Amino acid sequence: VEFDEQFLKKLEYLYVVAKKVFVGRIRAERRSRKTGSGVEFADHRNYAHGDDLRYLDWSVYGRLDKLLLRLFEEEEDLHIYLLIDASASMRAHGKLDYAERICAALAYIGLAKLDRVSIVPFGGGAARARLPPARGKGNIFKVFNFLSSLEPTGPTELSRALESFVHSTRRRGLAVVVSDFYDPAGYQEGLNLLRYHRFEPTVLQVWSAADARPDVRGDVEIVDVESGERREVTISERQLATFVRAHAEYCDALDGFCGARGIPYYRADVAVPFEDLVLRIFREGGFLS
Amino acid sequence: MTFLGAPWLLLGPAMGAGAAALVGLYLLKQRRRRLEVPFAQLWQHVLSESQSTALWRKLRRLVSLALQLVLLALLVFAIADPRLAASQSGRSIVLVVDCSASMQALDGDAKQSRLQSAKAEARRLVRALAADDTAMVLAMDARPAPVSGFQSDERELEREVDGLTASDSAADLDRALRLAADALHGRPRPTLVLIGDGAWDDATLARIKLSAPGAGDAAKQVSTIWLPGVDLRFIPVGRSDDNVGITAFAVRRYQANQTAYEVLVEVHSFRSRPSTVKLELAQDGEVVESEALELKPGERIQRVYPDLAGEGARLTARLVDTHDVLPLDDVAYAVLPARKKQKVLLVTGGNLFLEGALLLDENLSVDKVAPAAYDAARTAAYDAVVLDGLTPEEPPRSHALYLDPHGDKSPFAVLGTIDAPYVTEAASAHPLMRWVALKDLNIAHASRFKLSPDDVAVASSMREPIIAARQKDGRKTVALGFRLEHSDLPLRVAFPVLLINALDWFAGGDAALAASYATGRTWRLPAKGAALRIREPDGSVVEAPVHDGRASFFGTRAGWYQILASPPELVAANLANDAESQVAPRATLTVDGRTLVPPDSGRVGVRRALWSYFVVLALLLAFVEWWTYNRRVTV
Repeated sequence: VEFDEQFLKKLEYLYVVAKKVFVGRIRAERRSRKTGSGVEFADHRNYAHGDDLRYLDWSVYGRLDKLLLRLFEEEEDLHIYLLIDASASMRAHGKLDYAERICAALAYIGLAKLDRVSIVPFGGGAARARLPPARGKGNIFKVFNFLSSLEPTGPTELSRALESFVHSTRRRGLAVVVSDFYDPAGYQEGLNLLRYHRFEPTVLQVWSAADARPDVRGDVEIVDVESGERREVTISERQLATFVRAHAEYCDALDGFCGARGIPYYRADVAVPFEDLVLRIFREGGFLS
Repeated sequence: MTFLGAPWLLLGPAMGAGAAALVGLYLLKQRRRRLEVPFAQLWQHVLSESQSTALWRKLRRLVSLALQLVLLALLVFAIADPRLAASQSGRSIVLVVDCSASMQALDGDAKQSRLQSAKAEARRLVRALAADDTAMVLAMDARPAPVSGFQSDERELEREVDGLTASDSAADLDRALRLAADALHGRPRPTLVLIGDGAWDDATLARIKLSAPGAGDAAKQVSTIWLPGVDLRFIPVGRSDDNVGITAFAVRRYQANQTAYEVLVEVHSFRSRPSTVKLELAQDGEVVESEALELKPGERIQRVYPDLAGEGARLTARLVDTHDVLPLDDVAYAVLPARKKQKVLLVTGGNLFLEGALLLDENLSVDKVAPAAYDAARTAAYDAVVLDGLTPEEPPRSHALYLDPHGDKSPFAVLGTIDAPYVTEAASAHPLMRWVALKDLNIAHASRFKLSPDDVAVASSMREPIIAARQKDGRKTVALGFRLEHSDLPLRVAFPVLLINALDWFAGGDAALAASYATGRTWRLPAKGAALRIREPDGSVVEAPVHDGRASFFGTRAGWYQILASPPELVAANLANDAESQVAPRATLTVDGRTLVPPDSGRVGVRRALWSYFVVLALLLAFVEWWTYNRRVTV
C-alpha cells in the first residue's frame, strides 16, 4: 500500500473530524481508575503514616480537624494494539491493503492523541516482528514503513497468535483485531483470550464482496490459499447460492459472537473508502470512546 | 429423397471421425480451472451437495454428448444436400424468354432494352415461385435452346436469366413451343410462360392448340403445336412501334464490267407517322452515296444505286438519325464480290466457234494448245480444260469439258452412235441448262453415253444421254457426245451460253459467297478441308464442319464475319427480317380463342432442398447446447 501525501491529508482530516465528534464527550486523555499524580481531584482518604504531606488537605483539617489526604486520578498513557492479519487469505481482493489503511488511520489518530500505539501483525505460523509502542505524530512514518513491509503469508491461526500476544504484552489496552477471520480453527478462543486478559477488543472484519459471492461457474478445482487443500467441484447457480448463504451465516455468526460479548464489531467492506469506515467507527462511539 | 451434395462415401467416414472425436473429447478428463479461495471450509456445503448429484451430472453430460452428436449428424446431412422427391403439387414452369432481335429495342424506362425488361419480369417470376415449383429457362431466338433443366434453386434460375443475351436473329416460336411442350410432357401442372414483345408470327400462333388432338385432327397434327393441359401465360414487354429499318441490302458486279457494281437497298418504315431518314452507302467506311428518303407510315422503299465503283469490299448501308428504338436494323452489311479471272486451257486443233465463244467472256484467260502438246500435269494450273475432240490417255487434273469424247478413255462410256438425234429431254434445272434451249437442234450423229448413278443426263435423245455431267471427288466433268462442226449448235445463241454456263459451273459460280447472309439461318459456305474457321463479329473464332465442299454455319450476329482460310474471305450478315423489324409489341396475346394472362405467384410450401432446414435445426440445437451449458444444466 502506498502512504503518500494524499493519504496523510486524509489522515489529518480524519483527526480533525474525530476531534469534533468527541468534543464535549471525552477529553483527549484517558483516565485510569487508579489515583495518583494527576491534576483532577478524585477523593479523600485518611492520612496514614508516611504519606506525602504535600497532598494533605489543609482546608479540611482547618474545618474538621481531620487529616485527610487529597487523592487525584492518575493519568496514564493508553495502549492501543492494532492486531493486523497478514495471512495468505488477506492477499486477495486488496484486503490486506485495506486493513493497512485502516490501521494507519487508527494509528495516526492514536499517535496524535499521544496514546501509545503498537502494531502487531499475525498469521504465517511463526511470531512476527511487531512495531513497539510509539507515541506522537512524528512516529506515523515508522507506522507507514512497518505496514508497507508486511507480506501476506501462511495460515491465520488466530487463537495461537492472540495467545502469544496476551502473554507477551504486559500493558493492557485496546486490542483492535483487523482480519477476515477466515480461520478453520475458529476465532472464538482468540477473542475470548483477549477479554480474559483484560484487553478491550474491537473486531474489524475485512469483508470483500468477491469473497462473499465469487463470480465462478462450471468445473473448477478449488485451492485453499492458506492450507493448499484442493477439491474438485462443479459450481452451478444453486451451489453458488449455497456457498453465499454459508458465507453470510459465517459472518453473521462472528457478529453475533461479538455482540453477545460486548465486543464492538465492524464489517469493513473493501469497496467502501476506508475513511468512511473510520468515521463510522468514531460516530458510533467506537473503541476510542 | 435424393442426396445431391457430397457423396456418402466421403461423408460417412467424415461423420464417423467427427463422432469419434466428440466422444473422445467427452471421455477425456477435462482440465479444470483453478480457483483460489481464501477459506475452503465454507465450500464444504457445496462439495457435499455436488457429490450427491454426481450420477445425475454424468447423465446430463451424456445428454450434452447426444446433443453434440445430433448436431454433427444434422450438419453432415446438410452437406449431403438432401432433396425431397419431385412434388406433385408444384408447378413445372418453362420460362420462354424472347431473345430475338426485336428484343434489342430500347423502349423501356431509361433506354432499357426489352430484353432487360423481360429479364426483370423473369426474375420477378422466379422470386415468386412457390417452394415446390420447378422451372426451366428457355432462350428463344432463331435456335431456341433451354439454358438448363428443371430446377427449383431461385439463385441458379436468376443467374440463368441474367445470362440471357439478345441475338440478331428472328424468334422461332414454333420450335420454342415444341421444345417447351416436350420438356413439360409428363410433368405435374405444366405451365408455359412466354415473356417477350409478342411480335411473333401470327401463323405460328394460330397453329397452337391448347386441347388434346381429336380423332379428326390427324391431318393437321404435324403442323399444329399441341399444348394440351398446359397453362399458357404471357408477360408482355415493350411499348413502342417506332422503327425504321433496312430490310434488304444486295450488291452485284456487272457481268460485262466487273469494275462497277450496283446496289439494292430496301428501307421499311414501321412507324405510324411519316418520317424522313437519311440513307448512306459507304464502301470501306467512305460514303459513296447518300439520299434523304421520305417514308409514309408503313411504307417500304426500294432503291437501286447503279454504276457504283470502288475498290473496297466492305459495303455498308446506314440510316442516319432515325431516332428509332431498334438501332440493329439501321445498318446493313454486304460484301462486294471479288473480281476473278478464270484460267481455261483449250486443247484444240483449231476451232473458231469455240475460240470465238471463249473470247466473249472477258473474265476468262484462255490458253490454247494443240492436242499433241497436251500434258495432263500442266492442266492442274488451270481452272478448266476444254478438250475439243481429244480424249487423252490421262484425264485433266481440273474440271473438264469434253467435246465428242471417244474410245475407252472417255469419261462417260460410249455405248454407240445415234444418227440424227434430236433433244427430247433436257435437265432444265441443271446449272448447265440455264437460259439454254436445245429444241430443234440439228446434229448429224452423236455418241450415246452410259451413265453411272451419280451422273446427270443434261440432254438426251429418246432417253439416250448425249450431253452428260458429273460431279465427283470435287471435280466436275461435262461431255457433249458430238463434234461441234457436226451440228448447228455453234450457230445458235445457246452455244456460248452453254459454254459460259459450263465454265461458271466449274468455277462454282452459284457456289460463290453471297453478298450477304441472313442471320438465324444455316449458311452453306464453300470451303476446303475438314473444318472452316470463322471469326465472328464479336471477335470469337468458331469452327464450322465441312461436308461435300460446304461448311455449315449458323450465324446469329449481324456484321462482318471473317473466314480464316487461305485466301481469307469476308462474309456479311444482316437481320433482313421484316417480322423482327416490325417492333410494335402486343399487349395481349390470344391463342386458341383464349387471351393469355400473366402467371400467378406461387404459394409458400416446403422447399425441396432440405439443407437449410437442417442448418436451422443445427443452429437451434447449438443454441440449446450453449444455453444449457451456460445455465450449468448439462455440466
